[in-house]
Order: sequence, then structure tokens, then C-alpha cells
Amino acid sequence: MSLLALDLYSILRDPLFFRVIGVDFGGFGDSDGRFRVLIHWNTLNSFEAAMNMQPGLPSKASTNGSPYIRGEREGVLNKAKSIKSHPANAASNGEAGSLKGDSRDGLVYLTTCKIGHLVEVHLKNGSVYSGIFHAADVEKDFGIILKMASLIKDGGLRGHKTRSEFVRKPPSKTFIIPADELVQVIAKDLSISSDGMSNAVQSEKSGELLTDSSISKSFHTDQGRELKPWIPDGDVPQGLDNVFDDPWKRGRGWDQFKVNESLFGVKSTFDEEIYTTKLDRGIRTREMEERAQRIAREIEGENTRDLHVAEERGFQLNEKFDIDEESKYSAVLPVDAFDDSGFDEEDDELLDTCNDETFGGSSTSTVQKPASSSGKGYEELRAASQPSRNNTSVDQSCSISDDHAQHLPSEQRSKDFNAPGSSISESQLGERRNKNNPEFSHSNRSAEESVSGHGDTKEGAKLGGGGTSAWKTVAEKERQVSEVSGKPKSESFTGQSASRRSSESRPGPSTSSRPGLSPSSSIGSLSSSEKSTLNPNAKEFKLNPNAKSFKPTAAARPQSPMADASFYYPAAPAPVQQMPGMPLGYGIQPQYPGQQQMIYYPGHQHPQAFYPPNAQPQFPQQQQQMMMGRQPRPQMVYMPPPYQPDNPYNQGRE
Amino acid sequence: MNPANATATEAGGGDEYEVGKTYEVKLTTGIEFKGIVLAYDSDPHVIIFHEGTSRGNCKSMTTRTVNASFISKANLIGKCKDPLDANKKKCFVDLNGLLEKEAIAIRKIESIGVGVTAEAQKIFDALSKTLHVKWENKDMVIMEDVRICSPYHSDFVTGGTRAANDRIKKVLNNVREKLQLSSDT
Repeated sequence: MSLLALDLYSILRDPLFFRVIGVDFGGFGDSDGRFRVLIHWNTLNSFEAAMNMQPGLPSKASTNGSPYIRGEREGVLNKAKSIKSHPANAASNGEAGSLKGDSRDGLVYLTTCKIGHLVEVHLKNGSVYSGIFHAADVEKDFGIILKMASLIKDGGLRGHKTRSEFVRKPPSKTFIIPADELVQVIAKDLSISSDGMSNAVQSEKSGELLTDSSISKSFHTDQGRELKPWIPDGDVPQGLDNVFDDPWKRGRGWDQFKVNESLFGVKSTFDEEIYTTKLDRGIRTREMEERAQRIAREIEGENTRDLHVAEERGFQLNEKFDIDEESKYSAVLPVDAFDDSGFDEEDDELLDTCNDETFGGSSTSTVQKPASSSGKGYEELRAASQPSRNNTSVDQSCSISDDHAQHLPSEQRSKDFNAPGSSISESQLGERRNKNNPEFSHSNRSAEESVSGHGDTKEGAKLGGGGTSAWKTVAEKERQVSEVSGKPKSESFTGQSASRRSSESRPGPSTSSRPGLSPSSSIGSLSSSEKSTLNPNAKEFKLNPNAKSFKPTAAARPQSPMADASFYYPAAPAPVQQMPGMPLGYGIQPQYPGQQQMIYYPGHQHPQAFYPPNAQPQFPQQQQQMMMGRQPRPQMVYMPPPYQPDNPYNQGRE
Repeated sequence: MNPANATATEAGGGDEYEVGKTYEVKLTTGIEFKGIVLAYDSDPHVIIFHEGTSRGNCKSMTTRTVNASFISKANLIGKCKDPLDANKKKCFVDLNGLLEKEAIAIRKIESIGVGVTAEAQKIFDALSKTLHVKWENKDMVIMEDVRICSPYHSDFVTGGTRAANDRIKKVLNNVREKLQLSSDT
């Protein structure tokens, strides 16, 4: 009988699609050197095949002319990325579907679940092999393939060898067992759940080397340009070559903690768990992990309109591929059409008002563009842009939320976002908020749009849906051409956490671009927002009648993260779980085209982008008070607020 | 295909193995077990049993995929409802997850050295936490550069650049210390 060789490539691509091709046994099929099948017929009872496969080969596996149908493979490839696949469908590329209907389905399904599992295979002659289940021919007669198979029990021998003796021989990489040798396959502890959770990878990656960058990197993106090592000019001071070469010296020679203690009596109280979340590895860990993985995969597989998110996920958003890095990552997008989802006027006003107060009514106060690009960083961005917009009314609203969104990894979307925001925006946001921000992409655009270049109340950034109040606020502010004078004010925004809770308060009253955006308006919206977002510790807002009004000079101002030094930042009280006040934009800076906003403050010469990327300044909640009145701005003392480690990309679904 | 020692394929149990039926099965190779039929197909003539007689927990089970040709005897001992509830609902399989699972399993097996001592394996495992190490016969090869031969202490580290070599030596010594192995095993 002829041996069956497997088209491993297609099988790898779609394990459900088990295709077996005929190959001459004893042969040495060599197809372009790419795919060699060596079959030793006589040496073993079963067959051992060494396959040399190169990735990506379109596989002329059918070297020996077996009836391999190319079309099937191609059909199969499409499935490679699909997360879910109905067993019946998969098997039917080009086949007549599940011929036997249900019974075949069940078989295929169960067999598929076994892939990757360590199984024991009993053979006709009594031998038992243990290996990783790789593929099976469901169509024909159920020959199977194991990977890394090793003999556990040899049927041919009389006595029993101990297992260790068998270990002497390295496992066979690929091991084919034809159907008539196969007696049974035992898979122990197979986890099967019929609702789709099955067989998720045990994220037991402990055996693997995981660096941070490899953990967080998306496997979709290309690795960027090719890096070349730096070659010093010759001016380089000598002796620096091996400074970092020996990481182990540290362990031996220098223990900074010990030295510190001995010299200065300082005891280290470092506890890792203060900074990370301790994983609860309990009984249900595996389920939770699987669930988390599934969710992660779903998120990552979603469509997005955001350039950067798309890039991370591997989608090609831009059809014209001649976009260079500059336009992808650095350029400032012009403020033009976007479809926003109903950003309200007063949002703009608020924002502008804030702007003015903060920046002394500078002409070109630019508002930072919220991270248009990514839904993920979005909120942070928004939040960031808030800060300095001190707006009387806004202020109040700011005090509203003391619901500081915690930035929690996993499963957090906009929710965890703490951003200072006006109540108005919050309420507005609230309306549009939904867990999955379908409008997120809109917001992205709108964000860009929300340049305060326009002194009028335009909708500007219609921060669509799901944004957090933070971003709404930001957008609003951007919009606002408020006439609030730009006085140095301390930023005192209390973060408003993503107020999913934000009730459907009606949109804040539309107001003129007067700073006095009446406290009433904010109050009004305030009251409509949930009480729980009120920060009881917030200082009372005091209207500054002298506030200068803000008039932007240029039409299209790029937006800039306000956060910048406009406010000084009094010592942040400890319990601030704030939401990153501001410069979200900075945090995500390099990545979003929209964000390159420079802030031009009248009082300051240059945009001070001194936020380290990802630093998220947090504004003490209590401080909602922006400094009113004309006070000379203290030197921008930017004290990096207690930085809550959080993932700007945990915006989740976009 | 007619295996030489195949006995009557339909022996016992009758003709149709239905999903849900519980059988006591005896194979021609002498193995016996009891199981509930989870799936059956007469074309490849394979039956998948869920081991054990009670339905139990669906999440994790031991399954036996049996080539029906080798069943010498199958006694019907009971019947229970569809063990998987699967036929009615759509069953989803996470392909990517499976592929990853397989890759990990393979890697795990690959990390076990063949014919090496337990101690060597321990050293290997410790090294592999921070380095890419592979077995090559009985040598450990790190980053395809540096090689550590039996008996795996720092005198036997060869290859690689000077810096890498030194580093591996240090790492190895550290590992040994941690494992509290004497350095001349």
C-alpha cells in the first residue's frame, strides 16, 4: 500500500483540514529541495518521516504526483487567521462538506480539539507512542501524525523496558501512523468546552523566554527597518565598550541595597507587589487565562480605523503605500473633515475657556489633539489635554468626578480613564458612551479636528462614543474659544473617570464662548451627572471675573497638550488616583499623527514637552482650582505626578 | 485495509455506535476500558470514547479514539444523553490557540535532553529561563553560539565571542551555585 505523506504546510495552516497526499513509499521525494519526504519503510513498524519544510512554501508537496488540489490549500489559508471555525466548514474546502453530517462533525471537532495535546497512541503490535497530536486524516481512514513522538512501550519485545531506557532515543520530529496500525489514541485531560473556549493555549509560557518587548509586541507588525549597529567615529571615549556586558557582576560585586543600608541605614522596603498586580493563581486560573486570551484576541482582531492601532494589529489601513514615516508618525494632520459624532458647541467653549485661563488667553493656544489615532491611547490623550484648560465652569465639573478611573490592564477600555473633564463633557460623553465605542474611530477624527483654531463653537471634535469624559472634555476645551484669561492656574482637574456611569445627562447647555460659561451650566450638568463622581474634597470653584478672554490667532492651530507647564502643580496629595491629567498626548506622542501639537503659550516661549513619553501627570484631585487671577506663573515646575503605571493602550476596543 | 488480526468489526454492541451509549470495550490488543461514545463515524470507522461511565465534567476528559476495526468486543452497558451537548450548538475551535498550544508543547519536549543526567537537565532549565538554549545531542548550545559540553561547568564553555563566552561562564557558575551543585560533577 502506498504511504501517505502529509502536506504539513496546509495542515499547519488549518489543522481541521486534513489532507493526505499520496506519496510513493520508500521514496525520496524532493520537490525543489523544499520539501523532502524521507520514508523508511522497513525499519519501523510505523513510519517516520522527516520533513524539511520551509516556511511559506507553496508546497509542491505532491512531488510524487498525488492528487493534491492546490485550490484547497489556498482556501485553507484564509482560515489561518480565523479564530473560530466551524468544524464542518473547515473540512470542506473543496470537499463536499461534511459528508456524514453530524457524526462526522463530532468526530472532526473532537479530533481537532486534540491538536497540540500530548497523546498516547497504541499500535497494532502493542507499541505505544507518546507524542503531540498534530493531524489526522478524517476523510479517509484516520491515519494520524504525531510530533515529537517517542516510544513508550515496545510491542515487539517480550519484557518491559523501563521508560527511561526509551528516552535514550531522541523523539522523532514527525511521526506518521497509518490507519491500519492505529488501534487507539488516548488523550488525557483534554479540555473541551462546546462554547468556543476550548483548547486555548495554556499560557504556560514559563518555559519560554519572554522579554517585555516580545510580550507586548504584536506579531502582526513588521519589525521596522533594519538596524545597523552604530559605529563610533573615533571620538568616543575609550573604555566604555564592555560596560554593559556583564550583567552578572552586579549580583556578585555590588548590592546597592546593602551598601545603602550600611552606609546610611536606609532600609529598603521594596515590595514588588506595590507596583504590580499580583496574579491570583487559584483554581480557576486556567479558565481565567483562557478567557483573557480569548478576549485579547478578539480585541486585537477587531477592525479599526485608527492608523496606529491598525498598524499594531497588522491591518493595512492605508491603501497608498507611499506614506513615509513622517506622515505616519509625526506629521500634524490638517484640520479638515472628519465625521464627528455630535460634539457639542459648548464643549468647545468649555475647552477654550479652559484654555484661556490656563494660558492667559494666548492666541495660539493649541489644544492637544487627542489621540486620534488610537482608540487605545485615546482617553489618556484626552485627559491629558485637559489639564490646563482651566475654565471656571469646567472647574466645577472637574470636581465632579472623583471616580478616578483606575487604569487596569485587561479588559479596560475607555472606562478606566481618569481624566479631568468637565461635567458637561462628561454628560455628553455619557450619552454616547457605550462599551464598545463604535464611534471611536470617529472620535479619532474628531479629535484631530478639535483644534481650537476656530474660535467659534463648532462641534469640532465630536468625540464619538465611548470616549471617556476625559476626552470629551478635551475636545470641548479645544473647541472653546473662550475668553477666559489665561492666568496661570494650577491645574486642578479632578479626573473624571470614564464615566460609563455617566448618565445620559443631557448635553450641557450650549453657551457662548464666554468663560463664564456659567458655572451654572456646569453645575447643571453637574447635577445631572452622577453624584458619585463628585469629589468631596475638591476645592470650590471661584470665578475669576478678570479672566481674559481667549482668542486664537491662527486659524488652524495644531493642538498641543496643554498639560505642559502651564500650571504648576502643587504637591500632589498622595491618594490621587488620578487620571492622567494631561498630556496624554505626550504620552503617546510619537505615535499619533494627530498629536503633535505644540502648545504655544503666550507666556512661554516654547512648547515644553518635557513629559517623558507615557508619563502621565496626575493632578491632584483636590486641586481643582485653577489658579485664578493674575498671578505670575511660577516657573513651570513640573513635578511628575505619581505615575500610575498604566497602559495607555488599554483602551480596549475601539 | 484489513488488518490481519481484525476480528469482526461489528462485534458486540451491534451495528451502530450511537453517541451517548456507554460501552465496555475490549480491544484486540487486550486493552479494556469503559467509555461513552462521543463521536462515531463509519467511514474512517473510528469511535471516540469518553473514558469512564459517568458524564462527569465536560471540561476535561480523557478521550480514546479507537479504530473500530480493533474492537473485539463491545458490550453496551448503558446509555446517557448527549455527552457533549455539542451537536445542537455550534462548536468552535480556536485554531490559533491550538497552533500555539502545539508549538509550546513541541518546545517543551525539545527542551528535554536525551540521555542527559537529571542534573544537566536542571542546569538546562535554569539557563533557559533567560537565554535561548537548545540541546544538541548532549551539548547545550546557547544562541547558536556558545556551547557547553558535558559535564557542564565553566571550563567546558566554548565558542562565541569573548564577551559572550565570559558571560555564559558567569551565568553558568551562578546557576550552579543556585542549584548547589558542586562544580566538578
